[in-house]
Amino acid sequence: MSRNEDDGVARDAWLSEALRHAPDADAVPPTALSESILRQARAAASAPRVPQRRSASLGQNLLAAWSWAARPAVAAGFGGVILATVVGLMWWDRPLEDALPPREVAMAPTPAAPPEAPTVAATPPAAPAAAIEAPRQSAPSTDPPTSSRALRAARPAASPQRAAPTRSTDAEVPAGTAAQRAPMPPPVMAETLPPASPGLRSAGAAANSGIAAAERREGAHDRMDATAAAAKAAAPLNDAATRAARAPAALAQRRDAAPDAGPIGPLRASVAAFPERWRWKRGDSAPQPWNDSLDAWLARLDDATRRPPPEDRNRPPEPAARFEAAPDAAAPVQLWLDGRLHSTLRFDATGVTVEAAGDPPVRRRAGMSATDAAALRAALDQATR
Amino acid sequence: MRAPDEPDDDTLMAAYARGDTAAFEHLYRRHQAGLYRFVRRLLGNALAAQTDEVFQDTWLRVVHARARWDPQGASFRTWLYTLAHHRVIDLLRRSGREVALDAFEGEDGEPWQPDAPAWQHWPAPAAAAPHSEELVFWRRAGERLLQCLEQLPLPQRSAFLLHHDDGLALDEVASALEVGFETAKTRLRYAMSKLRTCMGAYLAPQGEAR
Repeated sequence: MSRNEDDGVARDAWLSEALRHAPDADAVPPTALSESILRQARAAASAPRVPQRRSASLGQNLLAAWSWAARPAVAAGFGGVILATVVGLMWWDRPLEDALPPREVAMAPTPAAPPEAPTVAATPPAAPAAAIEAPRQSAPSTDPPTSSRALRAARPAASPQRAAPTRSTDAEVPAGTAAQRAPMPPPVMAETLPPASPGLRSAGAAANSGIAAAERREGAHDRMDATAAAAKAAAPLNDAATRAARAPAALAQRRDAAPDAGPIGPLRASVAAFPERWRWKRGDSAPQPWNDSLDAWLARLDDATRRPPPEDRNRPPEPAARFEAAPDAAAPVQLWLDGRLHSTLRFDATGVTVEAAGDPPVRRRAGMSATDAAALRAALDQATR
Repeated sequence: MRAPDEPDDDTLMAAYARGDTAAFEHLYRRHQAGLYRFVRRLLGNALAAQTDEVFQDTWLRVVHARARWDPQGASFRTWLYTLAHHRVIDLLRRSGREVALDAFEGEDGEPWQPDAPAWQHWPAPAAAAPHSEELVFWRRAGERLLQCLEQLPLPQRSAFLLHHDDGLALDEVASALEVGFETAKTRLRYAMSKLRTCMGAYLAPQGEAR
């Protein structure tokens, strides 16, 4: 029984019969019209429907993607990624030491480095090893400031030797050695004494990069003190090319900041860091191991070059021919690091010239009184006897 | 009516959507006469010349909408008549004729229901083989009914034709006209009442017709 019968709207049999006998009851579409419709239907079915499907598919795909992204789990995942990205961008280019909480210096035992192995990374530990002493001098407490922020706070007290790079987190420095080097100046040898050989050049480059890194950290501190916009604009760059470009300026600035370091200070600091890696050679003799006598003599030489300078102490380096032709020059002493010539010390009547091996070699002269020069030459003869 | 072993309209339309042109031909043969008659009677004598246009347009819309056709909610036949109804309304509007959206405009109260059928003296309907006299009577009745249909508002006319001529159930009529069930029911009742009045007033009983 149909619904219309239930609702009392039954079909009127007389009206239905009248419709059935109406004049148009047998009307059908013309044959030509039917053929036209069927032909178009067949053509439409055989024609490719790619554009229509593509548009429908694109809309459906967008809708499906939106529905998928609106799921709580997916939305939470995207939110987490966005949050991590934002936090990462906030910490971008910020030195790691600033991002970490302050921590103590980890004093590890001395690594057993091969004495004669000419490794590329031979020199870099010297710089951090000496650098660790700068904050220790300025803050002689049992718990020295080790973070960059703490070191920055202690800078005024350590102003004479502030130029030292402060990689306080290096753990390769032996405690006993560090204590012996406490009064030493910061290691700026890498600035003044370029490496002589490819190996030493690499070591020097590593030291330079360490200094540059310290400079970069200091730059970051200074910028953090400035306005946020200025800090952002002047944020240190990470790429090595930029660091390399900044290194000479940093070295010059450091050289100006530590006028009292003298030409011997960096060399002495480097030797004191790993004396077992150094050799000395004088004349035609074979390189000899470093000993206490030479260590004491080097300290004496360092002190002599730090005294109130004679009139020519700070004069610029002179041409190489001048040193080579010094009339009263004593036999030079060569200092070898890891089997490679590192520096040559030449004495004359009025001072000492430190010649760092390299291509070309870099020379630096320190003047002193004739008495000191004579005494040092005598002491050298005795120590190298 | 389709045979029991023949596929239904929805199956045929789905097959045509997949590219089976034979399925469309089957659908066309099944519904062409009823749809053509429906369109012609909706348009009336004044717009009878537009019947082919509306008829063709309706089928072409079926063709173009085959990929989007979804059998949910309505049968293919209901959908087909909905398309035709829309085309008729469009044509009537284009021709400047007023299409009353309210089928009961000017109607007061319930439609008239005769206590007894006005044509109670008419010959019994649905005779398998009417006599020649009865056949003449019913042809006159048919002609008169078409005239009465043209006096009905379009919504009532379409409701009556879908219900009495095409055999749709009342809920299918409502679906095809996209109105509620009660609305369709009311339209149908008004249409039947008016047609009874129209037919009874002009068609004399069988004995008096001569």
